[in-house]
Amino acid sequence: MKIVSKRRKGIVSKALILFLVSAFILTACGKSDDSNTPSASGGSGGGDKITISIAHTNVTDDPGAKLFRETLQKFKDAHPNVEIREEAVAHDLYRSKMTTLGASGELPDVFLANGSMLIDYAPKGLVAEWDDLLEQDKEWKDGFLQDAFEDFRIKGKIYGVATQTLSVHLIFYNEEIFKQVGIHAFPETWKDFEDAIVKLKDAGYIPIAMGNKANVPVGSTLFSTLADRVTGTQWFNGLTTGESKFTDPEFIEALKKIQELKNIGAFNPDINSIDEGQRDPLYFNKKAAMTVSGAWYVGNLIQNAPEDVLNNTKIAILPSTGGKGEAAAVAGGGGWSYAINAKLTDAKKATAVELVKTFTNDEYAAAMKKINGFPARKLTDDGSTATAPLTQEYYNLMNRVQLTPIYDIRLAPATVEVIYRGIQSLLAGAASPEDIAKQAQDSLGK
Amino acid sequence: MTNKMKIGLLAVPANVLALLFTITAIFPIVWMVYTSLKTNPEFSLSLFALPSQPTLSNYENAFRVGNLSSALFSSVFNTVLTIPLIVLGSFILGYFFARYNFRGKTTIRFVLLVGMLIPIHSLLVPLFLQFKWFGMLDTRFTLIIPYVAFNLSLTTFLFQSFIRDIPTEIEEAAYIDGSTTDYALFRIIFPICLPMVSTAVILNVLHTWNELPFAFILNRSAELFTLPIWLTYFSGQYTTDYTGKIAGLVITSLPIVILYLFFSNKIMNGMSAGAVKG
Repeated sequence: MKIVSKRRKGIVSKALILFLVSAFILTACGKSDDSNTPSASGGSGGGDKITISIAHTNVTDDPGAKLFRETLQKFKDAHPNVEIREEAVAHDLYRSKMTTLGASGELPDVFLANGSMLIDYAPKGLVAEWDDLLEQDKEWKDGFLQDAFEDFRIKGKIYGVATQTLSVHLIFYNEEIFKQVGIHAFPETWKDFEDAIVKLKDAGYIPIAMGNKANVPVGSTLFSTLADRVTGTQWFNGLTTGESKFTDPEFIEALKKIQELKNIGAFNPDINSIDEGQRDPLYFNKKAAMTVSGAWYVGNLIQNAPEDVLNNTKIAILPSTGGKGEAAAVAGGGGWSYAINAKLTDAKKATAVELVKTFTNDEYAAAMKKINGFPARKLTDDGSTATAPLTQEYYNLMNRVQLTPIYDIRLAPATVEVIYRGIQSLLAGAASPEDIAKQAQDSLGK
Repeated sequence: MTNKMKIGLLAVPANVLALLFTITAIFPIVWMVYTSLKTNPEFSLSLFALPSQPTLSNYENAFRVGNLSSALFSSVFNTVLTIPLIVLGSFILGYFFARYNFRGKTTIRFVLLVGMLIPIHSLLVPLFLQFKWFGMLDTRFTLIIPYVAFNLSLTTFLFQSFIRDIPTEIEEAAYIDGSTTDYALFRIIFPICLPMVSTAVILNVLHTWNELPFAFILNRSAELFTLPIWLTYFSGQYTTDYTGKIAGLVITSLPIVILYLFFSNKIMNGMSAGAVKG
């Protein structure tokens, strides 16, 4: 017995040690040449192999992501001397991945960045400026929509090239329900808008269905535009210089407008406890006459709404409130952009720029439009390549409105949280516009 | 007779209550399974209705999203390699903590305790840097070491408390018959610990199978991505393929549900046996 067990002991401990050691060696030596730090020297040129790492979120099965992958493959085929190394994770995980890479000085050569990431990276000198590169290629630069770079401009310098430009505010309404209660055109003044809401409410419909559990939907898709109607864009731009304050009467007035809507019963009572997905059954089953969302909702309607609801759905925007803002304007912008690593030089930088251009040129924009996407570029054919009527309606609308700031993209995250959570309490009747305005101003620390 | 009737009367509300609790636990799984047979338009109309025309299209679609087979392989690979290491390591550690006093015991126990107290997400960046310096990022074996390390603490303490309740007379009897330490350890104590082993297996399989942050931070190559990462592929920036994702959830949770059904009786034993002094 003793001999047997001694042998067992030997085997067990040896096996264990062997396993741990081999695990360590396999992980340690597996890819020792593997480092995605951009080399400071860059590609020295000529026939040398250039490695470009790119971080993106195009991993899903939707047409936009597929288009990106196909285009990337075409780029690889056309550039045999360029090795593309992808860091691709889904949108939900992307921020955490990039935060880790950023914190450890491992930022890829080309990557998707939103406004708040650039606010973080630009002062640290981690991302390159686009201004000169844009000037060098006038045709490319001039093809972008007017406001395409606004979300990625920091202290006057552009750090990102927009992947797309879209409106985050659209009112989708069911024309059939409107006609049924006796409204024959979408209201053009604030008073008519409120009257319409009361009429719809009295007829037993939910006037506007929204799911605001995450507190972003109302803040982003409704309030950003509503606030601009009241305050005007100039007031918003004055926030950074200190010329305007959240405690100004204009901003309080904007919050009061939301409160007004709530008081006349414009929203579903459970607005704060359901999410956006749970809002769909209300609109799709014709229990709600309107819903407010962004351009992405066009695709959702086309794919998932019952046919008669889709056919009766029309797109509108908030009417004028009589405030300082333009009525033909919606909150919108790029959201995400292509940024390049500040460490890149020479041939490597040129290749990176070429890669970004591949995803932001007219050809790619036309392909995006064909699959109901929202390119950041002007297209001369006026959207006639779009397939669905609702998408066409959206493009037509976009041709006649200007874009105003999206609060959650332009303001610091802490301020956004104060305002958006404040709106949530406003909708629950638990806060006053004045208090929210004061808290928002306090969050600026000025 | 009256006593019996009283018990009978009490049994009705007690059973109803128990049944209600059972339903709340089972319904999400039932909902998940039948929702995976719906289409997105149908899902958007009603979140709870049964599918009017059950379809397997979501499952067919699942194979087109990302790379399901490689994600499945990675998850199984990590789990199969990690679990034996955790169970073996923590069983031995737990045994020595329960039976022996030695210098440094308090220190080692303290280190293990700290491992339980530190939120592991705060270790993301430091661990990423450490793995980078060692050149250990992005390989097939990368995740094994952190997974073993994170789960070792809890499992060790579970084994320790279980083994402490096993009478020492059992080993003493073995030693009198000429057994060595490791014979007593693996041939006598280990079989007694089987209920705790099932508990440890279930707990750690769950942790390893569902682990997400380290899986996508420490690896870059798509072929090393595990199932939880694959599940995120159903959501874009603005849109989510709900029914597709739910079909994906069925696929990824099926192995765990089967494993749990298989081990569940033993797990109950394990959970109570360690807690009650005999």
